[in-house]
Amino acid sequence: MIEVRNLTKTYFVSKRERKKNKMKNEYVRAVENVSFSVRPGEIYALLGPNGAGKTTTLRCMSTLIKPSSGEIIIDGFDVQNDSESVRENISFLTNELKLDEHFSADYTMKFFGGLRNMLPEQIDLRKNYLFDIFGIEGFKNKQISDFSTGMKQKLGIAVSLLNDPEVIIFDEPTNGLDILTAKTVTDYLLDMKEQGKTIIISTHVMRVAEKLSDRIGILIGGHLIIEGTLKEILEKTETETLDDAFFALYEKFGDDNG
Amino acid sequence: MDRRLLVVIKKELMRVFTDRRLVFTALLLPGLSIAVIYSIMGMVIGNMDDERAIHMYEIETYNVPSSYISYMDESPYDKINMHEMVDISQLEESKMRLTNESIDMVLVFDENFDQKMSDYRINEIPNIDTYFNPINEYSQDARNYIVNGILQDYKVAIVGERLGDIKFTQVFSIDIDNSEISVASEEKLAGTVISRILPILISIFLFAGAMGIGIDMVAGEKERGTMATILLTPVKRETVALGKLISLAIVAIFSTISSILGILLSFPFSSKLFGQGLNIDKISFPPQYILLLLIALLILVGIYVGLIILVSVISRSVKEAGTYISPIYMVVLISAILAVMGNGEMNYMKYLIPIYGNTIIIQNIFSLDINMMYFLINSFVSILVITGLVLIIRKMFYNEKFMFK
Repeated sequence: MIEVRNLTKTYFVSKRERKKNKMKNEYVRAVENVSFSVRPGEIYALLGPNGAGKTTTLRCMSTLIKPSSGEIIIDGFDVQNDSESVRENISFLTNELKLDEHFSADYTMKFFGGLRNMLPEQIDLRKNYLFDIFGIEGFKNKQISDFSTGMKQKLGIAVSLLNDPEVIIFDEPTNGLDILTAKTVTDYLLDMKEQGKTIIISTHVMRVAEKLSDRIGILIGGHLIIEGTLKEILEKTETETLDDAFFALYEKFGDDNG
Repeated sequence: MDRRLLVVIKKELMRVFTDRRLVFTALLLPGLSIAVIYSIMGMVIGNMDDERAIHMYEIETYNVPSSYISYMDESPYDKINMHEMVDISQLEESKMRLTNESIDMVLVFDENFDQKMSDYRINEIPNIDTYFNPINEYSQDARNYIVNGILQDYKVAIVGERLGDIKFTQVFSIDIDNSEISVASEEKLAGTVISRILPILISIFLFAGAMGIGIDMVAGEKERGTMATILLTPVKRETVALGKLISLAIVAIFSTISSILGILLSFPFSSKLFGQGLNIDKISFPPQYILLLLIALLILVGIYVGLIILVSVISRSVKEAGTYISPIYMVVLISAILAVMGNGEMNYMKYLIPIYGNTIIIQNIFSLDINMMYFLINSFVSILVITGLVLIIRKMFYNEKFMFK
């Protein structure tokens, strides 16, 4: 279960960056008063354009960065006060996270399993299962630097799922993946949902949100403008497709919030 | 010990020790290059000394008095090729030859030198002008050989002649039957020679060995995006920081051992580089000094590793870290040199200064002359510094501004 209550995150902008990006304010508010919840057995999609605050929200949930105000509770643990327990229970994956390419896939899994305090037998069991799902078994002793981009991404996903987490947080899950890898990932997410996992994804691709999610939240300019099932959003916006709904909302709120 | 700490240390050490490029550049290359460079330098200096020992000084001499020729015929000074010059108008040409290093010295005796000596008048004693080229080492040696050796003895011989017997010129002797001129034991003498060399080298090698790998350990991981992946696991951030500090200390020690092995390998060829007093066979180190040395080295490693990791945490990229680390390396170099060049005066204040004080402690240990109070003062201050560095690093590991782009 994920509960986000009145999440606000502001970033300090250094003088150099303000000058470089021609900005006036010392602080930039990436998200403001965002609240939503994700239930077990549900996939929630945060939809929004670039810079809407999707990644910031997910990073706060994953404990990588701290909220400026508000509260995030994941499986009963507060991300600010009990960040290690939160990290015990989540899997967070984004394209920005990389693996040390000097090591083999096999050692990488052992290393991250060790950091998660897993026993060697647990690591082996889980590793074999994930390598099988993502087709890594035949490459497990190769250095990651010899992997293709798709294979690196699949290994990154396998590493993040090593601890069989109850909560899965994916920032742009299919971004940059080839068609086959993207299908493996989406199929796996749907399988996890069936197993009762709590899943939140961020995306700017409408098709991904439509196909995967049970509920959608649309972020524009750091504000959660609307949330609900696809049907509810279409009804509220009086549109027929998610694309139309999004553009209608963006036209209305984009300038005010962007 | 926390199992996760061991996982981090093992990963960091595997990163270094399974990378052939890093093993070569961080561990083998320092030792090999030191062995080769010191051997070459030692051989070059040795060859220069040998050449200087057999070099015959080419001396152009004007107005040579017959007493000087007679003296030289009977004197033990045999490194002179004297060229008698008859025309004083050629003196400028002689000076040119001196400048061109084709001769080593020019001597100009006063005209009628012997006559003036035998006429002896107190205000009209005869003179010898000497010309040499200070840029030319052989010329410097020649001047020393002639002015402080030959001419002094020549003067004594003439005084002896005036007094009727050379024995009358002997006023006292020095160390004629004294076989124990030096009161220092050979072990202590060898330790003193070592203490002038090794503290500088150890201090510099420790820092240089840790520097390259250390700045990559955090800044490099941040730059490559691998740090965030690690920090997303439930491991405490101080565990990651401590694991990196400990593994960097281990790498620094290995790198320093490699460098010291390089020096030892070079000894057969480089002993002249380290001075005449160095007798390796005589170096003896009591066990309690070995223990003190190990403690002092571990403390110095702690300071260096803390500083390097701190720079690595502050920096957003390896390039930026490289820029920040250079001035610290300069401080390490200057501190090491100043510590060894100090006057040896015991003053507790200098033991309070990190790095500088630590290097002096290592020097004191090598020269078997350590004051335990100063050792404890220095260790206490250093441990405070290390604790401070670790606490700052820990705090920064929790700060998103430093840990994420």
